[in-house]
Amino acid sequence: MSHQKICILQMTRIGDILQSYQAARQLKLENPNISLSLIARRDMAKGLIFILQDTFDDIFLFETSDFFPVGTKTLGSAKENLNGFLNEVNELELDLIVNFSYSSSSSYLMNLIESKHKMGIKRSSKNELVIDDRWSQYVYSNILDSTHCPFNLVDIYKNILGAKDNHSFPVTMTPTNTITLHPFASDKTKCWEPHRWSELIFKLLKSNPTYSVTILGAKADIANAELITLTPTLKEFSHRINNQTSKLNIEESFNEVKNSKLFIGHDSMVSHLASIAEKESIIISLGPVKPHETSPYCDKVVNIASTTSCSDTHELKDINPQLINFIANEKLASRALTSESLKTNVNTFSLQGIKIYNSKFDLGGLRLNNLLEDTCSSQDVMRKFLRICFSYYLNDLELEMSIPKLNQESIHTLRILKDGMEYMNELFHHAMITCNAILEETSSKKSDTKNIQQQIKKLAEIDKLLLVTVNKYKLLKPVHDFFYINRLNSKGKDLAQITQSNLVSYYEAQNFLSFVEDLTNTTLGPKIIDRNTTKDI
Amino acid sequence: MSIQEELELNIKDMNKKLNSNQELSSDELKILLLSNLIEEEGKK
Repeated sequence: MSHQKICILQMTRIGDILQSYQAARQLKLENPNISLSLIARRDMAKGLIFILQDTFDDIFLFETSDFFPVGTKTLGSAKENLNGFLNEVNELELDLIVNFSYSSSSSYLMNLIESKHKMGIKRSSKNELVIDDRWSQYVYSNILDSTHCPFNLVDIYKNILGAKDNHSFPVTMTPTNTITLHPFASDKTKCWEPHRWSELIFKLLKSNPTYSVTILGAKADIANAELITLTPTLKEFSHRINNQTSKLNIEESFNEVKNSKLFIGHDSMVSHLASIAEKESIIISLGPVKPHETSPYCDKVVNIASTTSCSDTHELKDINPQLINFIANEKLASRALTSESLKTNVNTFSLQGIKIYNSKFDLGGLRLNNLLEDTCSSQDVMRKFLRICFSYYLNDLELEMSIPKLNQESIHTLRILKDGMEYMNELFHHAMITCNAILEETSSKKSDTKNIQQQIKKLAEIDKLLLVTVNKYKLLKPVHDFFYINRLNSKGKDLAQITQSNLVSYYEAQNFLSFVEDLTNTTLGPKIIDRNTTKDI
Repeated sequence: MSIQEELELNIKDMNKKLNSNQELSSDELKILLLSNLIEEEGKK
């Protein structure tokens, strides 16, 4: 019996390749007989071969310049170069190719690679974007332009691939008394100011006299690394600061992280390397970082995020180095970080406006739990609901959740949101009636084209009203967007079949929303009005 | 004619095909891929 051949197309950055690898590694563990291959950009994946090779049987690396080498004068010769690459990949005779990239070029490449089955974005012969599978529809509708995603990207990739468990992959290491820092990220808004890092290093080295600190970074980070390390306050500790910025390749950096006791950094490629090394880590999530989605995939991670992170303005409450130092000391002493220990040992002001998440695996994958959470904001409540509803709808998983404690803001917002759910439900109901009218008309022997056109126009109007509704009730946007993309990808050879698919989609959207509504009602409880106090309780 | 000019000309023809509801060939999809790769390279 031949082995199933699966290929992952990942044309984005190093961090995304590492997250794809973590999902693929789990799939391979559960299905040791499959043959896995990867297509990635050379400059992103070349330095990761030492990791990728334990999971992928074939790795295809390319760059745009491969198709346009110096001296290429015609489009014809560029196409010939592309054909050479495609022929090599197509020799694999793939059973399945999965696109994790979501870039325009990757959608075209999907069409040109031969495979029995294809998942993720691709193009139709009429140049339309097509997404057949539901998890990829979820990514396209809920990740690219949203901050409400409750799932870790590795879990989403695993769901697309069909990997089920959360297996731990032990790493051989010989830890020394070192703390590895990566104080940089691809985007400046994701980084602390250098003086914050200097302050943290000072505190770390002062409170841990037997430890040294290693700083990792790329060539572009040299100036900032000097700003961090050459500050007068760190002069007395200079012999315990090992600045390796731009000196190590990715494999050497990985070994450095692996053999240290603790990693501290921002959301970056090195943080994902630390998760592959199963390293105790502290991640400082700033600016546009979406911690629920991109937190390193490991249950040894504490992720600290400003509560205003992910907002449109990216205005930040600064995270205090004293807090990071406290968490680092707790981790080095192997003490569990708790809400009580934080509140007792860190000043209240440092804990305001931030979230401190620990990471735990449950049936739905990696879950971030806010240690400081006494009550939930409406955004947090909805994220919890969506995790439950999408896990059930897309994976048939029943996740457990304690009823979130609400605050004034979440009570107020959820009550208003119920109106939005009611409007959406009505619109879905009207859409189903309209779909049925189209189906009735198309199946009639004397079908009235004018009536069909009118009904199609009505469906378009309903879709517009749905959009108006979610623009007002923004927390319902993830539900709307998913089913909108789902309808856009409706299957069918003729109007009747496409309408049938749309009818099913509207029906499922209504059921999904009812599920969210049930959770909302259970969480809110009954509205009790006491006339003596004239206030809602 | 430069490669860029060739690409633009080909894409113009493809748009005409698409506007008249015709399907694109595999060869044309290759041209779109190359064009998109160049465009994404420029954004780096």
